[in-house]
Amino acid sequence: MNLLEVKNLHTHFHTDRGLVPALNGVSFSIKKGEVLGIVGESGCGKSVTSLSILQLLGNKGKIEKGSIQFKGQELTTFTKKQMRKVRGDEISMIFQEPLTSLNPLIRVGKQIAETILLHRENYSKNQAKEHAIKMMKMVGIPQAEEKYSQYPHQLSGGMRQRIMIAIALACNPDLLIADEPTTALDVTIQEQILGLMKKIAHETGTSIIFITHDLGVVAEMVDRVIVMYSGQVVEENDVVSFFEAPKHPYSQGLINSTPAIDQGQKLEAIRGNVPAPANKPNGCPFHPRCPMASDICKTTVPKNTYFGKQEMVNCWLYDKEAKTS
Amino acid sequence: MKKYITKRLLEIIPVLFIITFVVFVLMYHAGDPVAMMLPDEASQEDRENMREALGLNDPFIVQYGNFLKDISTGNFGESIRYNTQALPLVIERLPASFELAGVAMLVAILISIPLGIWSANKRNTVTDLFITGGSVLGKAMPNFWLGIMLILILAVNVQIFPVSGRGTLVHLVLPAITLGTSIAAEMTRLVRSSMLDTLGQDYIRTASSKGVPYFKVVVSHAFRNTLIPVITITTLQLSIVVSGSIITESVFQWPGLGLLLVQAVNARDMAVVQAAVFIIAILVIVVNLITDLIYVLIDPRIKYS
Ligand SMILES: Nc1ncnc2c1ncn2[C@@H]1O[C@H](COP(=O)(O)OP(=O)(O)O)[C@@H](O)[C@H]1O
Ligand code: SF4
Ligand SMILES: [Mg+2]
Repeated sequence: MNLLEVKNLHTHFHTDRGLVPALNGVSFSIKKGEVLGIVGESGCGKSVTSLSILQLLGNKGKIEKGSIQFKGQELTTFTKKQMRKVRGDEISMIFQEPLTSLNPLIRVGKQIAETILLHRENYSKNQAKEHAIKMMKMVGIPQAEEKYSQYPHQLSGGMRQRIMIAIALACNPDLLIADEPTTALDVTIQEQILGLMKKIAHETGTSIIFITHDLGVVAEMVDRVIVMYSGQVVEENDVVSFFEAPKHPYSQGLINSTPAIDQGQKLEAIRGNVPAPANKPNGCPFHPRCPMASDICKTTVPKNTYFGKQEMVNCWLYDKEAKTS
Repeated sequence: MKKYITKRLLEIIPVLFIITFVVFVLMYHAGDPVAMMLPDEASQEDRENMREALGLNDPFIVQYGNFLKDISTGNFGESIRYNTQALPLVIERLPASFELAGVAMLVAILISIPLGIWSANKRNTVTDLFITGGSVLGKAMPNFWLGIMLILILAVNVQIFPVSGRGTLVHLVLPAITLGTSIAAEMTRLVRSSMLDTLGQDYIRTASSKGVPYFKVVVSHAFRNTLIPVITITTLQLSIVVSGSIITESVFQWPGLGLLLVQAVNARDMAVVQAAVFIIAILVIVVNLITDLIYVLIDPRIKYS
């Protein structure tokens, strides 16, 4: 059974300036112990997808349609209180901005202990503190006892992201969602954090959704990839086939424009930009930027074409192929 | 920390110098005290003698020097209304002023913090509209008008509260409401906008992602962060409290520093005016120092050295 199964998820924001249909039918799943990458340019809906899973969309965002099954339970029908029990305990999240994601007025150790005390009612304050220090050691924070009583501003960005990871892992969650956890860090620190996350995936068996727009990170970290474009999943593939034979023209464009992967060759950036959710073009949302676009692409939304259980592409180019094979 | 406090205390000295100078210049040009001190039928010669005796014919700089020398020993001169030393007169009034300002401030804090937090969390709802509208109204009402209306309605028409004076707790109610309303109105607006700002911060989202209940997110994660700008701006608007106190004390004949100051100005009782302005200036400086120290307690990022 899949640990998490998202089906046909539609998330909209009702803003002062009108409706923002950020997600339009996102489906994917993740198995226990798996590391799933979500890639796509910024604005494709990666963060909204992860915030939808935890229902942290704020008062403007709403899941309009679709299902999120977690360990066989339908999260979209959960009450606020039930959701609170899931957050930080069974599903936890790491955010992009280590510098602003911790409360500046609370000692970092306490911010870890808080999660433990929330979800482990039988823990005393002292036990929570001990556990927090253990977590700090596990994520590679030197002098953890001392650092426990420091405030976020006294730690570097890399150390703060380690604290965030310690918070996220404190209750040994089934699923960890990491939303661009290394984007804001410089390269050497980035490598250290990625190394730490790999170690975690290995040692704890926690399933990880790793969101990034950096394909180098994808190659290093994940087992399987889903590619998002304009609030939809346009390709799903295992990581090896994804890099060797990307199917969707958007995936191909992403790979061709990534320097670390395509060394030596001339980089071709994908022309144009991700459309804002409110100005989504008709037909295939990628067609204005797609070098392979044909007439049907401009008028009709392509269907998902499946290859085996775990491979999918949403593109007219594959529609016939799927029928014949 | 000790060093910082010492430094701040030493910094008060030049500030006081400037204040004494301003106070002196104002009084120097304010008019002839002799005219007020002597009866109308006094002769021109009497006036001249009096001026000479008071040193009013000395050059400006000499007069200022004498003034400084006097006040350095606490001698602001004698009040012409009370015929006693001015400084003790002023200090005598402090408890009444502290009582009124303190209670008004307390009431304002107790009202504005919950209301501000509530309306921020109910942003753009009817509740928010009511609270925001109420605070605009509260700010728009001048202290003297509100004071007079309260007296008319609750002390004259319906005689629940005394019209004026100080003594029992009942005497405190109307003046405290009058002074507290403008402060509460301003602070509600501040708490609301600061809370809104705080609620949009990343660490609030982090707290929610840990499963912290919403009420606790607001109280233990957002509130303390909200306070920092609120304290800053409240301190900057200390003038609202000071001027509000003076007006409120006058309306209710509350025997505090403000009433004394207004009466002294009207009577050209210079010694008392100078002493009162001087003490108010010191109070403002002390309050500023105290708020700076409160920051250290709230915000670990601030280190004074
Ligand atoms: N709180 C919000 N209010 C309105 N629109 C939002 C909000 N959050 C995200 N969006 C919109 O949803 C789309 C997807 O955003 P996001 O998921 O953050 O993209 P990314 O893939 O870069 O993480 C964007 O067009 C963004 O403008
Ligand atoms: S459906 Fe057409 S426009 Fe869209 S990606 Fe495929 S070829 Fe390009
Ligand atoms: Mg994002």
